[in-house]
Amino acid sequence: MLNSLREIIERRVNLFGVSETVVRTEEAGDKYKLIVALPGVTDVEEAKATIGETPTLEFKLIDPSSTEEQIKYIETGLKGDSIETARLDFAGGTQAGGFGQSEAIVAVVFNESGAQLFKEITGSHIGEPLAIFLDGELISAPFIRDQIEGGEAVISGGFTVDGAKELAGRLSSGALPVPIELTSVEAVSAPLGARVIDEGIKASIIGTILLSLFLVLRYRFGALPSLVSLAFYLVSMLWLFKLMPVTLTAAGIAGFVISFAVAIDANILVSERIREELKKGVTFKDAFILGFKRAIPSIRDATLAAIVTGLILYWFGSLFIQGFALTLTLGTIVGVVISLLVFPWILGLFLPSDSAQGKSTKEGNFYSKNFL
Amino acid sequence: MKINFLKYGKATCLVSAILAVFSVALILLHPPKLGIDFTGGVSVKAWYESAPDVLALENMFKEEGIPVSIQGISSNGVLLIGEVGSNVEDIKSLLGQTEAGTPNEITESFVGPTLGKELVSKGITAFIIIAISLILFVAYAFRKVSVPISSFSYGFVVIVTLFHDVLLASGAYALVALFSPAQIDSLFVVALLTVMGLSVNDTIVVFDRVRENLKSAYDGEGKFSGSFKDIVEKSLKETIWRSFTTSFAVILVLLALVVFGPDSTKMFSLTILFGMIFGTYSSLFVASPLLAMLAERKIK
Repeated sequence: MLNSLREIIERRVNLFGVSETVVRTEEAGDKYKLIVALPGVTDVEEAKATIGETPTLEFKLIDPSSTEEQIKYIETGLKGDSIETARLDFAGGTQAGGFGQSEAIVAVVFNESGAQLFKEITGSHIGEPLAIFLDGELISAPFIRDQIEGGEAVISGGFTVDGAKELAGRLSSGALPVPIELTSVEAVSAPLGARVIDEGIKASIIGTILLSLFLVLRYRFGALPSLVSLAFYLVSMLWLFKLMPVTLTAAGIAGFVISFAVAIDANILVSERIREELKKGVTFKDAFILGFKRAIPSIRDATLAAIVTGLILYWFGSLFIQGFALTLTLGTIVGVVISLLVFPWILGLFLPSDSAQGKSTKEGNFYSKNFL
Repeated sequence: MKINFLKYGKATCLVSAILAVFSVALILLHPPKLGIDFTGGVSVKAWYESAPDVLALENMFKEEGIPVSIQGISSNGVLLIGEVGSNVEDIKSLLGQTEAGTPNEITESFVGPTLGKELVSKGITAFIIIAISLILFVAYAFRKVSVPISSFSYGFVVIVTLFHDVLLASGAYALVALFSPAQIDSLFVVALLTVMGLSVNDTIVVFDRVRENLKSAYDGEGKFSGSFKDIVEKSLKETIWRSFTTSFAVILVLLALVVFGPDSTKMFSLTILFGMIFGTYSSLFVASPLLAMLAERKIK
């Protein structure tokens, strides 16, 4: 029970799996707690809204012993956690072929056991109202006209379109099996801390410098286009991360690292290919075109394989792996776009002038001499 | 270079097989401990008069050899999470020895795992589906070179190599774990996924050259009469330096992360580094000989 609650809350606070949220269960004495750590959220109200407190949805029947003044409800056991999916819908008005305002409702589909229970309840209480409670408040009590099979129900209760949409989203992401209550809020310092981030950035910068040095040693002047396009790649990825609600998690960073490696790979593949063609003594222009042409199949296939892996991981992976899969897939796509579209363009900028292009490498021009 | 790489193919495959057996044995006999991510643990909170120095506390616990993660929390408190079975009294007494004095209040509780068993079962499912998809994908990408060996062979070898790299990287991790407090945690799982991705990339790039050379060796009717072994050998020679270049570039970045990176991600970077080294080795000296061997068996 506590674990399914943990999963629901985790999914709720970490939509794409790319925020470093931590949701833990805690047991102290006879109390069960859920600790939700939301990085970057410093406002208590914001934190509460993200966790989304409840919603608990309950279906209840009216106790026959209840009086006019005091209505008693009996639990049916049918609750929000029996819901498979929920969606926003409209009822009445022009939607139903009539006139007037249509009303926003939430259509829910029960899971197997929920559908069975719903069928039993509606079957044995025809004519009675079925009270629907949201977060402990009665929102509507439609009369049961007939036994309902197929496990579908609608919840109406004077929702606004936005309100119904939000409720449907919450119910789909998993209505909570038990009501939860906020017990305390604490500000927490970063688990890794600023020191760690500094060290991480320092190490990445050292790594990038080493990499650049290596490329310059190997290709000399010819490394320049690669370096420019790698810079392009890094800037595009950082920009993407800024656009998306991504807190860089360890998993996310790892996905990014591979896609970076694949991007470096693609650049080196092209550079090495051009170098090979140049060694055969063809003109630079030919080497450039041939080198590119020959490098494309390997780049294409390696990239597609990475994308296949990323997509499957996103599909089947748990939340924690999805963050990795997302940055891997995104990074790979950006990488291949840059190596197949931007990199040739940058290489073109470094191409010798038209008159020099016709000359063979043996005669040489500044660029091709340096490339070899 | 005049070295005949494939001549040593059987030897390199044998070395890999031995390493694989060692890895399996090591993992089975001395599996690294499961981390708090998987097992849950104890959590202790303590509040002081003035804010305690989290760094100093961290070092104190390190010296005592009690593995905990420490975070500062509001109103001058600290939150510690330790392994299952940690001695809570020890933790409490250490918490009383800070420069901020003894804590005003201490609470303790058990915390559940953040990664469930479902991660393992889901991981295995994902791994199988990935393996099948990659075989199909590679078979499709290499469909034009199904002579002399079926293009499924390429896919098969890609998966063998992938499995090899992940296994050897895990084995190396288990070896390191014998001498260090390295644990199986979420970072380790991610590191293995990373190794998987890099491995496939490496092998496909090497096979691409075989594909290219093989295509140009076909006669007009798509028949192949030469020696497949020679084609693989030629491709290997042509790609070996390029493979070293690309791998070395990535290894440089990883080395920087291992040496200069934060302690908390050192083991993570190291695992990927292992995987990268095994991956480069296997794409050249395991995948290519395997391909040649498959062809030989078929021709016989």
